[in-house]
Amino acid sequence: MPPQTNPDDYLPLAVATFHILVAVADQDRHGYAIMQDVATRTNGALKLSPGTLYGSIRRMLDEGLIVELSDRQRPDEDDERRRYYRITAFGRSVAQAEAARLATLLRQAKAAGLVPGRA
Amino acid sequence: MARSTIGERVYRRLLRLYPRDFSEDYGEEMTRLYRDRVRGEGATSVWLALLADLARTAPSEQISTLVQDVRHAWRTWRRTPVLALAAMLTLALGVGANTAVFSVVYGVLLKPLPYPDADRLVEVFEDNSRAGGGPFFRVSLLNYLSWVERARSFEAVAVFSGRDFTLTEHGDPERIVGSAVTASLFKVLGLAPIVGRPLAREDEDPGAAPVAVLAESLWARAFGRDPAVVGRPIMLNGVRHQIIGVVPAAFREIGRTQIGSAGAGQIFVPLTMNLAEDRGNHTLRAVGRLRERVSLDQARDEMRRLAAVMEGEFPATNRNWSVWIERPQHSMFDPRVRVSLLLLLGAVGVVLLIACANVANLVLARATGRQRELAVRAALGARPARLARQLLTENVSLALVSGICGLAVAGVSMQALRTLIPATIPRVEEIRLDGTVLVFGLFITTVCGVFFGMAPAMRSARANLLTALTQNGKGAIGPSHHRWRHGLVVAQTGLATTLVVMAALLLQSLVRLQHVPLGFEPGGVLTARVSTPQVKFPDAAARLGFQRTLLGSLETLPSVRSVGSMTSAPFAPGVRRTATVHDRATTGRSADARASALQQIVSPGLFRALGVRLLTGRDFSAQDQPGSPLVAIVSESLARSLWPNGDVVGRALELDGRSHEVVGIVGDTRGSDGTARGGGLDRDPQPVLYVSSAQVPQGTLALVIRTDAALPAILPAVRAAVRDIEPTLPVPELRPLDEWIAESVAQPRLTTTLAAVFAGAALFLTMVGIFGVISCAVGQRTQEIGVRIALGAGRASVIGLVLRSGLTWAGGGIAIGLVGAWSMNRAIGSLLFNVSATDPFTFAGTAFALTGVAALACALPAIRATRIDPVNALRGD
Repeated sequence: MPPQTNPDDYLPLAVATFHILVAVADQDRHGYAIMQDVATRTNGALKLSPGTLYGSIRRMLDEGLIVELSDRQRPDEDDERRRYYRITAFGRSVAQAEAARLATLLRQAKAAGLVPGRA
Repeated sequence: MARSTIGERVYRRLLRLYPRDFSEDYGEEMTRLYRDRVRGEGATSVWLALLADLARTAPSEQISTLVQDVRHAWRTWRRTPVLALAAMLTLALGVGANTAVFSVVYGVLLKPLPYPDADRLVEVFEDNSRAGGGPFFRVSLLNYLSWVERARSFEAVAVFSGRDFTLTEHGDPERIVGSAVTASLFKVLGLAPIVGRPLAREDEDPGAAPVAVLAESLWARAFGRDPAVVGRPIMLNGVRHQIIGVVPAAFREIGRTQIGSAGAGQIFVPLTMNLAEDRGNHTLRAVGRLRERVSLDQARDEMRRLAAVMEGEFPATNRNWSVWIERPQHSMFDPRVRVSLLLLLGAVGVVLLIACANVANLVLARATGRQRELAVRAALGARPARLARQLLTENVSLALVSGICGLAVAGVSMQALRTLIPATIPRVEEIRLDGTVLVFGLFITTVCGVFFGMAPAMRSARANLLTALTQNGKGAIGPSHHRWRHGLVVAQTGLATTLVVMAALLLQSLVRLQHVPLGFEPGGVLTARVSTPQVKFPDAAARLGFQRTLLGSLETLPSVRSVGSMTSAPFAPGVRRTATVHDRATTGRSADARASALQQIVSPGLFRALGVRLLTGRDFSAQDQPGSPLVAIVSESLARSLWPNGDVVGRALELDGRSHEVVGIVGDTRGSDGTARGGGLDRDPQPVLYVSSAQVPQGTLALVIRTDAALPAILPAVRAAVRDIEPTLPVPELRPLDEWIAESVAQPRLTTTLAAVFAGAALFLTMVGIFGVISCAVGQRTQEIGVRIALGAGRASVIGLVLRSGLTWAGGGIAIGLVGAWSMNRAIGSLLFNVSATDPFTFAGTAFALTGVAALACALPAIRATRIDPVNALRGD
């Protein structure tokens, strides 16, 4: 079984990893859906390439951040039998820890006057 | 499903750049992603992004998989440390020995010579094959001059001749070796002086002021690398020479008779040419540089044609003489050195193969033990290819670690080899662990890792899950497993048999070589070379006077039984002059009564001192004086070739145009070949013509002292005797004749020793291998044997059962090995002396010995088998 230790050990997360966790946080998605979700959220600024996407997915599976759904768990409407991924409880806590880290960082940047516009 | 587009198929191909399990896992998904994106974004932009992605992520995925595998490998090896250590040690020694032997082969045989365009360098010989004299004769000065004039194949040709010099510069006079060379040698070698100027054509003129060029070694040793030596005078043989330059270490005699690094010339003087010399005197060595785009064969053709023309022009001297050209890398060795080295490389390679087989066996046993682990992992979804790759990584990484240890082993054993290699083998200083050798070491390491890692990896790839899990791991050993192991036994025994046969043949050959009749008695004989410089001894009378006084005073030493002098002692380095001898009665008429013979200038009493038998007639004596009629003594074989009908004493023969009366015949001696070292023990005695030192003056002579005293006891007296006569002469280096003879067999002895060591290692490893396989087999058959014992099988029948299975396979291997040894008879035959390469006794003896070793290896497991408790065995699972 994958080693599940302290979520903080995994920080900082790679950008792609964090985005993938965010993408599967609210619903199970397949690879293309993850890619599209990331692209939409970033207004097209970040397009995960297939190598990065599946390389990250493989590592995240190894690390127990996400799991692959079995045939039965897959949504019925998918006739192409794609592979779906779901965030694990551990994955969620790692994502939360990363979010908290980034929030702290952002706060500090604001305090230093580095963030313009609405506070 | 829709048919796939071309782009899709290409993309699928490209996905193979990822680690296999990755592309197997995600290839389908990634292709689907590709399809989705092409639909949404258009092919062009997608492809650009995909190619960039591929270039970036494929290597990183590969590396991360590798890192993961290596980490895993390390963890698993740590679980079986003894096994890992045994495998590593075996491999490290194997790789180390191979790398060391390769470093010798590479340094001595393969490495290019250190000259610009070294592939255009050749050595030129006069070829006397048609008269039975062989192709490697020295060159006559006049023929050389004719070649320079007429040959078109060469950019330059140079001749040179070794010289002894007495340097009286610092304190005691010192004897140093050097050469007289033509100025063209600079052009041939393509080297420039470090400081000063090269020799010029004009320096060769007989009237030119004497000049000398220092070798780097002498420059460093005697002058502290001072560039200001150029222009300084130096006293050589009592003559003032002007130093005109210093040449790098690579500026040296190259080719056939180069005698190791110790023999490298330290000083060079211009070769002054005596045009009155006989065209038939073959005294010089020649090297040439071919013109660009002239092949070796073209040059050979041209020179042979030229030699044929010259045969017509100078029939008296050039009849039956042609020209032979060889690359120095070839000519500088006795061809047997090449064969020996390659043979040793093969032998040590075989040892490595056998070692690998043992390691493969260990690893296989380990893989069998891990069958359950692997099966479980397969059940959890690991793909067979992934597992195979992991096993391979485990073994290759073990091999690499062993390989690195092996290189350390190679470094140590290479040093040892360098000191063991006889001085007669050239280029020993080129032997080192350089890039090429390291690459070789790593290469064989990787090959080994793949070789012994492949079997378990392949097996695991088709591991049978069900049997592995249900039968507690043991059932997984199917028939293919046994086949593989028995195959290993056959291969190991076969290879070891071939090696043992080879080593046994070489050993017998060496023993016979060391007992060959020499024609003289070397025990108790000391030799030394003494030169009489022309300045101190300007004429023949002075030289003869010196020689007589020296021999006379040595003879009076109490421990000396007899003394004599000759041109060069057998098997010792020295001048060897081959001369053409005619029967006086038939001079110029019949070619039959002409012979090539080595000319030795000897003192009265030499034959007694050296222990050569006088067959008929008389020795030289006091009655042979400078003015009296010229006399000669011939060796038995020379007498036979000139006058096959006997009746030799009293005949006249012609040498250098002068008639000599034959006064005696002496026995043939070995070690008097026309080569610089007088040939090897295996060379048949050559015809020798002896003339009297009283009638033919000589500048350098070899003292032969038969004494009861040990060398250290007599050395001071000999030195004092020389110094008493002439204090400016360098003190002679005395050396027992036995040592020279031993040196001449040093190379075959080294080959034989190494072959014996490798054969011993092969034998030992094979024994371990058979032991391992049979032990394992007994372990697997515990139940069966238990049943047999329960049913009343006795000790003898159980032992017989085990021995039979072991010996059957070993016997197959021995048979194959004997065939292998037989098929190598051509190669090894050239190294053997008085032993047939297919000697039936050796073959039979080896088969017998190997069978004994195999039986010994089976004995322990067989005895263990008799101790199997049937009750435990049957309860086993």
